[in-house]
Amino acid sequence: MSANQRHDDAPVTEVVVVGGGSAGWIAACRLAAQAQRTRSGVAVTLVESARIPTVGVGEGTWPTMRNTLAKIGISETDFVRGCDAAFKQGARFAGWTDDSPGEGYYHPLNPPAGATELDLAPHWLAQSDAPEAADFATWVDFQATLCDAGLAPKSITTPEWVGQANYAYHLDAGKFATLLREHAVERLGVRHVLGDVARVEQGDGGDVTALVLADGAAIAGDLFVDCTGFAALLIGGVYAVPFRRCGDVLFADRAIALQVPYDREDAPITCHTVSTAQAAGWIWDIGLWTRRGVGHVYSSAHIGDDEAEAALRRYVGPAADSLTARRITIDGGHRERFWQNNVVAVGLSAGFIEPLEASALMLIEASMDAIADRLPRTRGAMRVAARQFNAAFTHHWARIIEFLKLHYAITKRTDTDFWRDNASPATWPDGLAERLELWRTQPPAPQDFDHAREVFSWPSYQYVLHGMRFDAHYAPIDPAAPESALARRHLARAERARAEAMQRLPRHRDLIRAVREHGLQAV
Amino acid sequence: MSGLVALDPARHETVRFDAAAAGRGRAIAQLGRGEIALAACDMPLCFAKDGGTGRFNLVALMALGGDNLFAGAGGFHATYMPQAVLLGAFRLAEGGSGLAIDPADASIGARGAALIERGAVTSLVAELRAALQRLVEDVAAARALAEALARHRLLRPWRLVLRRAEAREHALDGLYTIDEEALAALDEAAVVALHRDGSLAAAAVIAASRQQLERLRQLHDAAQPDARIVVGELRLTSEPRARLDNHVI
Repeated sequence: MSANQRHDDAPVTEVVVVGGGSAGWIAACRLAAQAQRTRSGVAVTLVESARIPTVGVGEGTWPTMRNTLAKIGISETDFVRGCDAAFKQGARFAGWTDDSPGEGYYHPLNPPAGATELDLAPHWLAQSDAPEAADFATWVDFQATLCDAGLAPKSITTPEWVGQANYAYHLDAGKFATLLREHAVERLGVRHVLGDVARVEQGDGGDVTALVLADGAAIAGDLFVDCTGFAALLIGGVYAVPFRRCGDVLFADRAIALQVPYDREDAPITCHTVSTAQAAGWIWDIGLWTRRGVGHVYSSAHIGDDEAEAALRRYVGPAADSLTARRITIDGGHRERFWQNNVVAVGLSAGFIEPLEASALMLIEASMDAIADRLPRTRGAMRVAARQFNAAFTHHWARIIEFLKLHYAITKRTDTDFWRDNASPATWPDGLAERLELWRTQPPAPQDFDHAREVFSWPSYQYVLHGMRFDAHYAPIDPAAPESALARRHLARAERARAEAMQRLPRHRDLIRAVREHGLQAV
Repeated sequence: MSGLVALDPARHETVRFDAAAAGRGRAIAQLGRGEIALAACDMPLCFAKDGGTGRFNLVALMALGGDNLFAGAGGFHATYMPQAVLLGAFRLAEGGSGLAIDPADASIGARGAALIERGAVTSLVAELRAALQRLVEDVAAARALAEALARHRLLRPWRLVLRRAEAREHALDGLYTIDEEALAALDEAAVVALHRDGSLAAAAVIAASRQQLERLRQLHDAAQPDARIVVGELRLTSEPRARLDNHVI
């Protein structure tokens, strides 16, 4: 047997995760839970520095987090209690289309009614000029109404992971990492090593063979998951995989964050992310059980740091006076490759982008779905897995950048250079420019995308396009056509769902209190 | 139960309690753990979630989308009347007589045993209070049983569909029963633990009591021969999958 053959046939049995933030512990939990479920014999070790603080990226999740937590084996009750989590039903974008008072739209997590059977967008557009016509999100689904009313997506009698409306979470990232760490070590058998990586040993062909820690201990492995954040210890430090920046498309390169306590114990908790446009960026506002997380994302080319902090403090009001702001640099972009040799980058080491659509944790989950569920059994198979992974995630990053740019590109704001520059087609990715041309005459559809499973599928594009009053002119609707009758049936069903949900669902804070006190049942 | 008032010797001199009339208007009754074997002789036993806590209560099903099928003009036609039915008109109360009554309950009226005589509560009031206290403890034990079964994932939704002759369908939602497949798949340690604390035997009786659904159907058809009913269970091979991805459809 040749040396190459031996190398290719070497089994993958030891996986080492480097870094202990959200990415590291999600990675370790997913790998160890999968190994436990399949009894594959794969051992998982997580190495983290006791000296390097975690960045704590991402306080908003996607609905995918329900799947991830269920796979890991953490109950929804433990998650809500342990992470001060709240439920999230989407995002409201205020002031993005123009800066008139009260202007805004929802990007809810429910797809439009009947989305598996028909596309309601042309039907909405055909009546959207009528007086009192509802906005797109409200017309095609009931979730925006729940958000406006401050109601939860489920009740205490709804089983865990299930909702009357689709939902994700807002969470405390620090507490999330702690919950995952305890679960990983105590329940899933992950070996936790505290230590600083002093040296990386590589074998023939450049594979990483072991991490040598400052105390001399060597941690050997067959696959290394680089979750070292911005340090990118392996993917950047060892392999120097180039970083592809996207600052020419997405201008935001700074963020300032505040943690704002509620002014009273029973203050309502908003059940969606509020993203409010500013002169040179936007402010996020998310509600947790114990506090709000509020932050200003902005372009330093268009506004100064102090001016941006002043805008954030004005937004929060007097409650901000005693609070200390935390400043964060956003170096937007991603690696040209994410999986190199036997190292795969997950989390901030793979890339970072402004949190406009809460994609950070989702990308970690999606990465681990690909890695843990399809862990290569041999070093030879890893080459194929790496090629597939790199192709898929290069595609995902491009689509995410395009989708985020969409929020800026079709603005009607012209009040500052920031918005004028964003609306300039010269700053649009080619794919977005091409699709926007198409979408002037027909609504976004699955066929407009290369992959069957896009991270942002066509309903997301419809919510943003029509929420921002994109100038579209679709084929006329014949009210007597069979599809019009089908549309009316789906709309009537959505109206019944709206009425029932409004009547039955509890206030958001009341649900969280009940979950914390009594827990959710598994069925 | 919104009409509860404190039993007041001055106001309720003429109020009497007719145990045989209890149960009218009650479709389900909460059960104590000690009642399982008794109630299972007549009624399907299952679980329903408490609206305020989401926790499971053990209940006896006594109707098929209408009135209580055991409670008739001639009394309660079952070998056993659940304590929550018998005591449905009463609640423990602080102070005074220590008892609250629901004057609108079918068992409260001009017939039956006196609660007040010569301006003072009768010994029946003390008996009712003691029975209520026992029921509270027994219901708590039933909740503990339900929690143990839920913890071992031994409960599943029990969805009943009622079809009437004129083809109208009516679904009974919100009920749960024993998942016998999960029961059969329990590991040995869980089987031993559940057997030792009596949960396994209770689960078997509760599962078997589902057959009393046929008894309810017969009672229904006997009472309404012109509106016969078919009762079916809607079995799902798996729970409806939640929409987990952002908009994956």
